[in-house]
Amino acid sequence: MTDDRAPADPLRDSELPLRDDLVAGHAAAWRHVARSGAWWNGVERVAIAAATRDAWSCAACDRRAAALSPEIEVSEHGRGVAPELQAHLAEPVVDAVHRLVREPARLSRRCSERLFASGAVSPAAYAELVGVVTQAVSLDALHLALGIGPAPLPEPEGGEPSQYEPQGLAWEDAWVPMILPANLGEAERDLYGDPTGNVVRALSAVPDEVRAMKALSAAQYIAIEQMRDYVGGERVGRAISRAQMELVAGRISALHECFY
Amino acid sequence: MLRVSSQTMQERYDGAAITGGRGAAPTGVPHGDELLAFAEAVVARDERAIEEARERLIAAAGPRATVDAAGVIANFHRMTRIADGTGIPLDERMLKASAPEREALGIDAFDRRRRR
Repeated sequence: MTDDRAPADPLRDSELPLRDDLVAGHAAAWRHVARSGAWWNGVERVAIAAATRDAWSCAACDRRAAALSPEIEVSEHGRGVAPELQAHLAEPVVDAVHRLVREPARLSRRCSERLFASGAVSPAAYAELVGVVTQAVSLDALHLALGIGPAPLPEPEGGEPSQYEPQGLAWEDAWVPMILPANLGEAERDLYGDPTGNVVRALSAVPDEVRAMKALSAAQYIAIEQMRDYVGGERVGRAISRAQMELVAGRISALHECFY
Repeated sequence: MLRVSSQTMQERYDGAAITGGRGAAPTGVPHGDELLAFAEAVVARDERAIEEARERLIAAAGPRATVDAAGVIANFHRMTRIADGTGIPLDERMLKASAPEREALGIDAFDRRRRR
């Protein structure tokens, strides 16, 4: 596909002045979701995006969100969006997706260890799952904010997962292995900036998820290379200043009770 | 980031607007109240409140600014979940740089040790 503005993309129909790079960035992100990854194939990745959408209206998640402890057992999660695709996902995978969408601040090391122990997901596959879920959440959030209906889920592409394991992965204090900047292999030289924050390294067990995250951030926010521009605004192609951006970013983080 | 960018722009911000939200404190940032209302409505997924906040922001700052604010909102729906979903620790560099804000805003109360 060479057209960055897919015909079905409802962003194209908005009366608001959406930047071309923003529309193209969203189209590229959906194509990334649809492609086979390192540990999930295209069908499974689009199914994860479908589960991401289901989480918002999941009755089981409503009950858990209302409970004092996020450890309570819940019955099966809703799978109303693209059920034929979600049939490819085991229940612990859907549970992990829904927890990440609905209650990210109540996730814990215990949750990830339990998931890994179930055998449903390896730590690297979980990192890829986080990449897909968070792409889908943010793509849909832009539509919600601008009053534009959600983009149709992409058609899954064929192919098997590459099972690519980058050089230099190590366990530090996170719940997934990450590549230390000093251990970057030749194939991953493009991943990090200087300096590099842990939030950039978080998905480095699956380098293409870092690349996809950086590309979408450049379209929705600013490029990593522009992070030290504290003026922002028109000099980085935006109609709001960096201070205005950071006010919004800080408030979103606080509402999500994000410690980072 | 907000502190440094505000200082760069010679604007005065009050971090209580971050934790307390709209009306908690002056934001010190142009159209700060409208931006906060927009962000809060999207997180609440309240479509009516989103529409009202979006129209107020368009009237105050313009449609391009509103699109860019929506982009930031979307971006941080992603980045917060990457951080929360992977259990990454705060970087040493950010720990040092954010010490005054963490103390002033009580952010250390979100102690990641409790999440083990």
